[in-house]
Amino acid sequence: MTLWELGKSKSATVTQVDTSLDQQIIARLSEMGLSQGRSVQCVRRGPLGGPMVMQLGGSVFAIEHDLASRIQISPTE
Amino acid sequence: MQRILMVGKPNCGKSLLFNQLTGLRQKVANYPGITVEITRGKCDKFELVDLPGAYSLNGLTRDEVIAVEEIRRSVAEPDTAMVLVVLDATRLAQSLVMGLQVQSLAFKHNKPVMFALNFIDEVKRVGEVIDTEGLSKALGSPVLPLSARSLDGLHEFKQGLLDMAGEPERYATEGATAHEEAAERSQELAKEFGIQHDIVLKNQNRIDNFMLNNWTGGVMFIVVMFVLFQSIFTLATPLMDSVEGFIESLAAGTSAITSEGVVHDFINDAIFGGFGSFLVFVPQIMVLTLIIGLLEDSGYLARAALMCHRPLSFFGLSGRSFIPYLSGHACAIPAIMAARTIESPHKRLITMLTIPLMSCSARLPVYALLVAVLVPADKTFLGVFNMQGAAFFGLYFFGIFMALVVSQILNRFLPRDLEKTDMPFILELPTYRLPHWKPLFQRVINSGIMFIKRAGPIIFMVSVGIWVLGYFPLNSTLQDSWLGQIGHFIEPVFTPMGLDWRYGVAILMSFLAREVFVGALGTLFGLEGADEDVAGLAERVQADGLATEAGLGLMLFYVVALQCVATVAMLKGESGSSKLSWGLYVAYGLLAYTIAVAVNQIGGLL
Repeated sequence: MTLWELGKSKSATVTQVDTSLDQQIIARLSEMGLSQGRSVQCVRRGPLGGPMVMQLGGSVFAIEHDLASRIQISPTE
Repeated sequence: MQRILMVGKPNCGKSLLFNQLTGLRQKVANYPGITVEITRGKCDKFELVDLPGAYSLNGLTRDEVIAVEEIRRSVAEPDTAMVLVVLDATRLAQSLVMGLQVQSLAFKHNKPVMFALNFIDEVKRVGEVIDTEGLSKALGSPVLPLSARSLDGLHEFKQGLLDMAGEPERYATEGATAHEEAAERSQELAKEFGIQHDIVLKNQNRIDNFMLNNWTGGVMFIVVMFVLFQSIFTLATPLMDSVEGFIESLAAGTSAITSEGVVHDFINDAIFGGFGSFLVFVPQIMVLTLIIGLLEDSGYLARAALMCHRPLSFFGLSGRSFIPYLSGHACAIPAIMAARTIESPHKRLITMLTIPLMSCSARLPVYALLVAVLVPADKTFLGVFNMQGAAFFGLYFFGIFMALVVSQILNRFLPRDLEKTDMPFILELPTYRLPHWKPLFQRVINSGIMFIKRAGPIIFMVSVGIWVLGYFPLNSTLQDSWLGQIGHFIEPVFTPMGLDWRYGVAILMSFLAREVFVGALGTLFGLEGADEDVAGLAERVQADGLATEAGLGLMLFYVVALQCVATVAMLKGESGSSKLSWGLYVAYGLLAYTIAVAVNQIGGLL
């Protein structure tokens, strides 16, 4: 499943970041802590398909659908 | 002078630390066309250089690339004694990415590095401790804990900093190891030395539960924006009045010592009247900068951007375009500056190019006049709303509507910078913090200085130009001055709008600034001081018989036309392109003219 499908308060591990994304963007995401093996937690879902809020390492990010739907995750308990 | 460089990620408290170390005297250098800003100040016998905040040394957007180039260049300079990396102790992993990259860069150039572990008071507050000695060993450079806000540890830190900068050789970097894999290594270090995130983030998430909630968050958003909008007028109006009063008394003082004649009139009308009316906007720009700064430093700006992102993305804009758009209703200049916070350069450009369509306060006198002419004061709309109020609302709405349409078109057709990647929307939500006055104060002062520097020269030239045209030949009235003659000559241009030469002259004069329209039209209708007597002028215009369709067209003309050379000068500074800015000036002028002619012609048929 993709990060976009993660429900509120649910956690997951990143399994893959879409490799068709620009290499530089992949590198930046990894510097932000969004890369394979890292754990993410969905803090809240926005209304009407607006950006979701996720916790990643020690920071909180808002991320829009176009990007979140290109990140594969596997949910954890 | 030997230099100390300061680097760190955004929101790491770098500006406040810089202010605490240097005091309030500092110089800001702006790069034209980008958001990169370098601030210099003096700290003891060293020059402290605050380099632009960045998340990483691998720049993505054009602004980031230039910021990173500047960092690389500065580190390599022989005058650079050392590099100070500011870390956010509550977000160690994130701030170490950039920290490690900079450390490795500094080591390559044999410059020692010191880490300032900022926000240590917040770490203490949640009952956590960071093993700074352990972290220092792991990093291979000294780490000093401090809080730039509560001043905890600042004294010891400053001492350590000056010691290192004084004898950089003693802190030789030879043999020091730097870690290339910053992303991995920062995670490891944060795991070992960082604090429990959940405790720190609990507070933030609790506030967000309220601020980002669909209902309470929506209400809060409207309240914040309403307060912002109101305070621009309530705070700025008395300040603007006092600047105006000051200029008037200055004018009165100088006209008392100059004798009647051309020089007297020039000083009075061109310098104080023309250039002075531009200085009146400085307080408004500073107030708006203050409010936007408060929103940004408190952390709310990021939330506002998050909430607006979805609806604005339909028009090719970012959530961060909202604040600039809202500010544009007061004045386009600070709004264009506020567009700097937009992460994507493409969206930033679209936002900047459409801000002038927002009905700024300089249009208010023009709207007030034309609404008074066209709409009867005692009529109501649906029995509740005052018709004149509804007309004002309609004009504001038309501006926003046009801006969204133009954004959509620009998004489709504006060439993208293909070499540089556009960052997708992923936005850090920073910790809520009480803003500190020092960095805010600096920003407010700088916004005023920047406005005067960028727009001053061109405003001066245009005011002198218009004055000359309206004043000569000697002893002529405005009617038969050169400007009046030009008006008569180009009357055919205004005929399709349903307007005669008098409106034409007033429109020409208002290319300096829109509000000039009212005063100029007043003079041409034989009414002195029309600025204070809008109702009187409205009666004369009514009696003169301005056709409804022509008046409506004229109002819409003023919504769309970019009649403000200060805005053009600002756009030129911020976009770095003079062609683009003047092109926009012409394009909006033509669009406004087309709309006005269309409304008048169609209205005439009905």
